[in-house]
Amino acid sequence: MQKENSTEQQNISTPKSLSAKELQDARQVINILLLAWKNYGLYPKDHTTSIKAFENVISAFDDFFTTHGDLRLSVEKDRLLCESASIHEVSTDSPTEDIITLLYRDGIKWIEFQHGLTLDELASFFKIAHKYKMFAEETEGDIVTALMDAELAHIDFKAIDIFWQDLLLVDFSQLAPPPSPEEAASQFEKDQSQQPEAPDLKGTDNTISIADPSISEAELEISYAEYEKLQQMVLEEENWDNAEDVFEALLVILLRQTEPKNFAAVLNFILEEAIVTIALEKFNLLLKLFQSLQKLHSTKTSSNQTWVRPLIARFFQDLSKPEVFHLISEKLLMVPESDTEKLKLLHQILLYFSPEIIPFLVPVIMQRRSQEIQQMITKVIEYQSQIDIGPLEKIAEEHNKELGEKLLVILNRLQGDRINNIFFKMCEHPSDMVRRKAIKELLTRDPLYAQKLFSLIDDSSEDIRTCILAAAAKQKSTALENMLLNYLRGNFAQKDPTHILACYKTLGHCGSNRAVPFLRKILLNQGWNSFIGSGKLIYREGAAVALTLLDTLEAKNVLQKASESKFKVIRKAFNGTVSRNDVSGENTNG
Amino acid sequence: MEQCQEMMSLEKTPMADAAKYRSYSQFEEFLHNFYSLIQTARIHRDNHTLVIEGIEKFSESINRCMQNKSLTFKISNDQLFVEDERLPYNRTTKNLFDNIIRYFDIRSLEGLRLFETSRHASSKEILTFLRLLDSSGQQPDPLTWVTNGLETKNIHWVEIINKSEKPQDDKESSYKGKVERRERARKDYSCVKASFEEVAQKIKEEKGQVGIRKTVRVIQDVVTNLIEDDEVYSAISTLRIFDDYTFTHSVNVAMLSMCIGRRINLSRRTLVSLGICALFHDLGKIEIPYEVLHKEGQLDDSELKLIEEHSLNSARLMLKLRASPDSKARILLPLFEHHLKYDLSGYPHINWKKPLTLFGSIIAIADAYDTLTSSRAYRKSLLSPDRALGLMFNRAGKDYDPILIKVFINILGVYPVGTLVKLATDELALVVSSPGKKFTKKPFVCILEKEIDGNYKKGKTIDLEERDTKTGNYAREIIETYHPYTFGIHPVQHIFSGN
Repeated sequence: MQKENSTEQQNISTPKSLSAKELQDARQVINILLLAWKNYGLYPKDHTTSIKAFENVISAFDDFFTTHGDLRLSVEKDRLLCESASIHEVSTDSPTEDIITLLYRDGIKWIEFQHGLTLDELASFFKIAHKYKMFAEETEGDIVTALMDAELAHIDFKAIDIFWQDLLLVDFSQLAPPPSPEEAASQFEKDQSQQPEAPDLKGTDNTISIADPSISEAELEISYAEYEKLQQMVLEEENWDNAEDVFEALLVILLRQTEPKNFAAVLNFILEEAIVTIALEKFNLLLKLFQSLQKLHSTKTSSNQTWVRPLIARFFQDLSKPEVFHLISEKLLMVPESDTEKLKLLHQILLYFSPEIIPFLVPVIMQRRSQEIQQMITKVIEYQSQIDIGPLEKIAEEHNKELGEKLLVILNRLQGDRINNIFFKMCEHPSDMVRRKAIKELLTRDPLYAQKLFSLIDDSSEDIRTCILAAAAKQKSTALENMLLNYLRGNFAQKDPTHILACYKTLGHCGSNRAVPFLRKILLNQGWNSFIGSGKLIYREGAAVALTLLDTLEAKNVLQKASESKFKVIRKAFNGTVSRNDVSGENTNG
Repeated sequence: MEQCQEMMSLEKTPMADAAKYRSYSQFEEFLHNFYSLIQTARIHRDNHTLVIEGIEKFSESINRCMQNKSLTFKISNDQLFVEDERLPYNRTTKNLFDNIIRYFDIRSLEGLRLFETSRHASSKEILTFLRLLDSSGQQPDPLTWVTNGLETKNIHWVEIINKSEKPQDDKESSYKGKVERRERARKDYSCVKASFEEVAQKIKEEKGQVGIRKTVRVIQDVVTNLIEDDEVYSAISTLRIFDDYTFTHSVNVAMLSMCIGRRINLSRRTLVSLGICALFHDLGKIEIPYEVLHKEGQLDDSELKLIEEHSLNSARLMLKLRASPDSKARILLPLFEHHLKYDLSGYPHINWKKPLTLFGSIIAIADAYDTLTSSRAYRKSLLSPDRALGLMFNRAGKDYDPILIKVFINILGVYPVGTLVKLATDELALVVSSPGKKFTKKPFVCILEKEIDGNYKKGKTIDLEERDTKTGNYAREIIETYHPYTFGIHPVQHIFSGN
């Protein structure tokens, strides 16, 4: 940025005789520039319209530079001047939208586009103007500071002071007199016990001047080795990367805070830095930070610092919010499975987040085919779910087949009533596969869950129906017996014969003599009726099978009667059991 | 330079423009190599690799630019001309051009003319010429000094263009430029101080995040001006306002830090960061009660702790600034470190094992120097600037970075601007400038004349290099130094007044 000087005003105000051609070309290039600015706000930067507009601007500038040289424009409140000729008037309808208004607002007096202007420089220029479009009092910078910082090689400008025009400058002639010489002289001895902020003055009465002949010029010269070291120091500073030291310092500062608001303020900044660190994939550093904070969280604090732990807990919660955690999710989606070191670090880091991250981890499992990554994330979810199962419960309500299947893999690793409840929820999943796996897992955990799951006896999936019955058949259970009896007493008109038979078989396995009256009725009654309802052969066969499997005296008596019945349909039903291998004493349904 | 002239007479075509820009870049390269070699030769001996490489580059660029029998570059109206064609300024060349203009301006020389024979000049001759040119700044008549020197050494491939018969308006313009630079520095100082006060006040009032746009902008301005003339900024840092210590101290430390940063060639952007960082280095002091900060005598343990916490508190309060996390992270460490000392024996008393950052080391030096040369409630005795430097040099490697201390001394000289000196003639004088006189014990001083009311007024400015024409001895010798306050003198009142 150029500074004001005495000749500056002259440069701007003295009109140079511009040729009509130059003026016309300047107008043209600025129109193209302003059109690109309009598009900049309307389209994303990678949109064809934006790209084309940028290319047009550069091409127009190149033509202008070739013919006329650099283009310096004077910025006024409502217009742009090339020398003294106006080449653009700001629209009165929406002046704040005009880039010229923004430049003027921030104090730019003139702007010069120079030969060699690149597309990147133009993009940076627009980006800066756009960033500071909205005027805010408490900001980090403005268009001028940002342009200065950006150091665009082919865009020069001059800004005037817009902040300090009315400032009273320090008046050197009005300075208060220094302390009296006598006072100063008498103080020297007292100063041996001074404040710590000042350099130690002990023994300074013998301090020699740097001009003393005992100090040679050679001692003050910078040697080659020192020069090299200095260059190295400068290089390191220019490529500043002290994130690790910054975290260490922040932790030192944090530990010294005795006021919650100050502690929170430092922690907030640590959060901001942690986000930057995630973006830069410095996971090692992040892990160290988390470990330190966790240590602080676990450390017993004094009674008057009970606010420390909740604040640190909040830190991890804030870090787990979607707007922050998506950064980690992105990394998880990108990390190569071969990068075991990074995976290991990510695994450790993820354990520090809160269970709120679970919903963002599950989709990662679905998108990453790598077993290592899936296993790692599963372990994290497992860990986080032990802290709070809530997020998993919510996911279970989502009816996505793939998600459901992945969730089951995770749930299989977890124990507890709340986990089992999720399994029960998943038994209502629209996917047969998910329902079946959930049921199987539940029944493996406790066969008695068959009672709870009995309603699924009518499930649309044969697999699931079979599964429920097989579980019920595994033990004698009055409850299941009653459920089955009620079920079999119901309307079976639409049922599948195989299912009917399977239900009877199950009753035979889990039931008792209490079922015999019902079975007798089904098998022996209404021998003349072999066409409708429970008179159908399949029911009688089912009852015969159940009685066979019950294998009690009462059951055998009924079967005996069936074998001797005068009705063919009853005898046939009995004979059917004899020919069935699957009722020869053992239940094979399970 | 025929080709150049031909080029200028050509119709403006893309081809002609391309050739022109190519020439510009060759001239820029030539000037860059010329100026770099001067700087390198100042630091290193003749046989040093960097010097040898520098000579090679300089010779090569002469060959590239020499299209005719001579190559002339001169300075006129603060602009650089090669063969009478003005070299265009841009961001990349601005610093270089400003430095070269200043270099020649200090020596009252207008430029150089290299003849074709310069293509065959030996390394030794080139160095001899450059050293003559460089040392001419210490001579009363630089032109004669260089011209005679070249004659004596039998070097004829180069000649100096003098600002012969300097027109009156040029002298006025030079004076005007000086006054303008001082005024600019005064304005910058006032703005930096005002912006810092504003930020500090807002932080004190706990108004949430505090914007630093004004601060950034004014520091950017300072950097721009300081690149052009750093001496005026090291001079203005002698300002002390007793009832406003924390603020003026912070501004002084910022100015001095940026001078160091400039001298070690930090980029403009990094200089701005350094300036902001240095300005806020004592931000934590706003939380220290006035009575503690200005207490006379011994502090009790709790007061001591409060003072010692200020560097940590500066870092914490800095977090309230509205700036990007990256900007804040960059300035956090130096605030935290500025009392840690080079050997880490300072405070905060923690188990810190990392070496200080460059910013931290620079600020520690600027801070200590300004503190040592300032009067405080608890410490009214003062060290003269040269003794303060002596003390700091003595503690290099313990309290301060040993290389940066040397850089600092190189900037201020052994008699820093603002040092009050007693001359063998029994006169009292104030060091006002030592341009181009590294480590010179013969700076420019202004004689201070005591008035009836006991105050001192600025007398004539003299070069202590001046010799008695009869005896050949120096006309004046420094025999003692003082802090100006011991005589009730504010250096800035004299340095920033008159010619």
